[in-house]
Amino acid sequence: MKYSVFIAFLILTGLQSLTAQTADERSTLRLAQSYEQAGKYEDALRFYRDLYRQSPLNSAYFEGVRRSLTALKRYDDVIALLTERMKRQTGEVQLWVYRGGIHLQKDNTDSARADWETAIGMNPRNGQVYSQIADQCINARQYERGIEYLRRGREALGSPQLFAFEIARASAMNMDFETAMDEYLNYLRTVPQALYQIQQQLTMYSEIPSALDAAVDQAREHVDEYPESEVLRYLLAWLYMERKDYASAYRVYRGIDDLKDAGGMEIIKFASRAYNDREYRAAAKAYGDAVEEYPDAAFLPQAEFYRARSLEELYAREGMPDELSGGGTRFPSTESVSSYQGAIQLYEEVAEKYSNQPVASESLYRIGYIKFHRFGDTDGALDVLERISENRRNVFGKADADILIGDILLARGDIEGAIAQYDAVLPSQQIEDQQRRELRYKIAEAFFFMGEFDTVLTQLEPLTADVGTDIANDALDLMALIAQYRRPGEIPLKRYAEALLLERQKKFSESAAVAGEIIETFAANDIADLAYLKRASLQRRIGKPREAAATYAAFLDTRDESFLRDRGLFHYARLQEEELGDPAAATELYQRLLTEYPHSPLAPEARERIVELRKGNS
Amino acid sequence: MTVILLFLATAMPLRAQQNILIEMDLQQTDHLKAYGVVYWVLTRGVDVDWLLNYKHGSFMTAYYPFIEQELRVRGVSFSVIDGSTAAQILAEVSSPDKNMEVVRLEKAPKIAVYVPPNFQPWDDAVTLALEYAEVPYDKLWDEEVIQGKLDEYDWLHLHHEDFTGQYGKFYGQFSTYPWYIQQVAINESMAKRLGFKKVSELKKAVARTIKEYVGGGGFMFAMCSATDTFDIALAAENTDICDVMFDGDPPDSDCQERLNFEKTFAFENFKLIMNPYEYEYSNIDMTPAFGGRPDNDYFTLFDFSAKYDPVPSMLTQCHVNVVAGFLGQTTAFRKDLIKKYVTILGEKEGTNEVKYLHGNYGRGTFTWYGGHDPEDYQHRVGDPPTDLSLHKNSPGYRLILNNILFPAAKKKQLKT
Repeated sequence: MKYSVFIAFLILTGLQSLTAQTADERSTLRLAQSYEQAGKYEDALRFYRDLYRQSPLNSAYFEGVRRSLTALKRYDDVIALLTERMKRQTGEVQLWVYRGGIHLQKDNTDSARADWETAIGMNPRNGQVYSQIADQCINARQYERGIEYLRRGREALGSPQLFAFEIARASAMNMDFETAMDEYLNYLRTVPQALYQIQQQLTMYSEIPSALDAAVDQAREHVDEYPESEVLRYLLAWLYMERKDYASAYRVYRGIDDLKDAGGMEIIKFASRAYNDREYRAAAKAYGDAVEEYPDAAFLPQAEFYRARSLEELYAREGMPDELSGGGTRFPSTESVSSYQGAIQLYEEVAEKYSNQPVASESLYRIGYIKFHRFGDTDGALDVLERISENRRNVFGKADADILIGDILLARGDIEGAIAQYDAVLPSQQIEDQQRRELRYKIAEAFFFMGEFDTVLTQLEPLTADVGTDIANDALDLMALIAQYRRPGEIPLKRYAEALLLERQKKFSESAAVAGEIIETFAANDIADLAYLKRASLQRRIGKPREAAATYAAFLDTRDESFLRDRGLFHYARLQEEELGDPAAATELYQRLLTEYPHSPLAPEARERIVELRKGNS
Repeated sequence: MTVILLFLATAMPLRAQQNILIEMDLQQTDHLKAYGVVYWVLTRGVDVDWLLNYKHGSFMTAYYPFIEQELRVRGVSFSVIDGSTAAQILAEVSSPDKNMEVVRLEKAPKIAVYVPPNFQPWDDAVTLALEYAEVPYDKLWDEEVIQGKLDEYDWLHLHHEDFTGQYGKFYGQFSTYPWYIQQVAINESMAKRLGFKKVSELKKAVARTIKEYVGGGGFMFAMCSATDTFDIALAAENTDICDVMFDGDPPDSDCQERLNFEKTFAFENFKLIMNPYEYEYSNIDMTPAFGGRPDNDYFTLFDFSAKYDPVPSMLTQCHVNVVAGFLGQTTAFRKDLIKKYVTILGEKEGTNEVKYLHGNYGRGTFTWYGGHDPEDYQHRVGDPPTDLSLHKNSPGYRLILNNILFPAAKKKQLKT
């Protein structure tokens, strides 16, 4: 019994001391780690050393000592520590790698190399060794040396794609983008699903022009060498688009399409990307080629529609593309530029060929839009839009056709019809708040044209609540116009509203005539100032710059008290600059503005124009 | 005949005696462009008088129609005054009982801005000011500095640079961002190309070269982190303060003790912040005492004797005395770490924060200004650029532009 108790006592105290010792060690270890995290390596080292002395086989303690000594740059001590441990643990490759790294820090490259050769020699087919050695080199900013070991590992393991990303990254850090790209491309050939991952890596350096150029050159070479690889071509196309070279990217996509025998699908994929990137020239070309070369493809309706759409956008941005010159149309034009005729013809073809498909409605909508907005052909536009069936009016999900019909009615002078049309659309769930506010503004504007100014003010008031919006600004402008120029009887302002309505209807000559009447009939009224400026701007629009110049000159000569004189000077100067081709006269007018009205809101722009004119950029 | 001559003499317009006065008080429409016009006039070979403390540092020059036109084009307000008015003004300024002085500006200084290759002008308050004021400048970087090109310039500007080689201490937040990675690659490539083992060694060499340039008579203006990191780099000449992620090896454990403060321009006895994840270099930088809000952060410019201290007077010409503060990686300088011979130009009263200082080294001078952008209280990476056309009268920016005209002053007047 006594012995049992004694033995139990021994076991218990032994366990207790064991537990106590472990608890102490844990606390000490935590303390050491805390010091290490706080950057207090001397203190950390003290505690790690204590632990290591007690348990020399414990690798965590050993690592703590090693790290602390390394952080303190006590390289000789680290070497001694590692050497001593190597004697006990001869097979631990890691120790040789570490020691080599320390030799490298001390610029003892021969010793470093010797240690690493030993490490490799222990198991030449251990890929991790090569990787760890490379890490040591790369951390020491010796990228070429690191790459050398990675390549050796690759060779030793007979795995050509091994360490591709590591070599590529190290090469890129060394600004050797050719090698980096070579690695990515070789890897990509064998692991096509890595395309996105490689693109992510390449975006790290895409801001460096030489990097992007090198990437493109290498990709091109690889594509030439491995013409059957689709993924290389995808990467090359992507690189071209990164470089904003869509024409070259398109050529690559054509190649992919041929290679995959995709029947034009790759071309469409490119065209869609280019369109979304607003590269309309490239998009138009691609869509056009797809349409011509694949007349039976399922994508044909969309391709034809977006071809027309791309050309329309291209014209809006750059002027008449070759594809849109000439061409007839069933719809007559009014006194506006008729350069959109070609686009209309294309849309007409789509609407006819695919009358039962959504692209038909979309095409008709675009025709209506062009006819109205570009040509001012209200009859033609209305005719087209009413062909869109009721259930297709929601062309792009925004009650587009219905709103456009309202705009057209207004332009035709059917103001009440326009108001009714807008009112009918207002409750629609399809439109967003922004569009709803715009519709309310249109209704208010319609009442303005009718001369019902009180109603206008009531309609506009709620729109001014959110002063950060464009609509609020427009509403405030219109309210200010009414407040400024309303007189008892309101006839001058009503006449001016008529002139504005005629302008909206693109009846510029008639509008200018009304403005002229206002000038003569209401010369004593401030509205005459507005009428002068409006008349001159209309004369410009109908291609009569000399008459416009005369109007501006008359305004400046006769309306000395007008607070719009700075505006008159500015627009007169723009006319001289842009249409009359007289930069000297323009400069003089801008300078007059600066002299006479230095605080005008137009003064900064006038200054900019003078600077541009001085540079010869008229 | 005598009567005729007398008549002609009195009837002739006094155009030859007319002057242009560019007032720099609160009536001025565009203070910043005014400096640009003055610079432009100097490039045309016309001298300009800087009337220190007269209507907050106005400028006067001979009347020429082309100058008047240029003022109008740039939107700078001015007056055309006759000779007698000009003489009265000069007499007033020269009067011994007025704290005013005339400084003749003769030559437009040649300006260099130290910027890396991927620099964007809107990232840097000084280049923003130079671009807005239409003052031309050249860009140079490490290679040009090491090759000795600094001697071709009168004035060198530095902004958000890091001469310690720690890549702006952006590691903690931005180490995986493409721009950071590119920055590291570009700097390491440059270091290697110029024969330096580490970027930090290259930057120290650049700092020393700039120091020699100033010693030889150059003018240096620095803002934000270019100020304290410059001095830290000089002090750390013989020690490694960079952690392993910056240069591949740990810092010297005794690097703090090995700092040599005799080598610095403005600061001494500062303590390094060694944590690589902390966005600070040392305790030189001070964040605002009252929580750093735009509505309670201001600093005051000191008054100097224009007649006896023309240099600090020039540097502090402003239409306000109290200027709105602004943050930066280096916002303000800890007063008790500033060397005794450095002149404090502006500070936050009642605190230890110095915002603006100036000193001499050899035959040259340095002027340092804490903060990143005077009209963007807290400018973060990726924030849109400041539009100076909305801040034409910015006192904070005006202080920067004082520095570009100061080297144009007649040499004898620059001795303090």
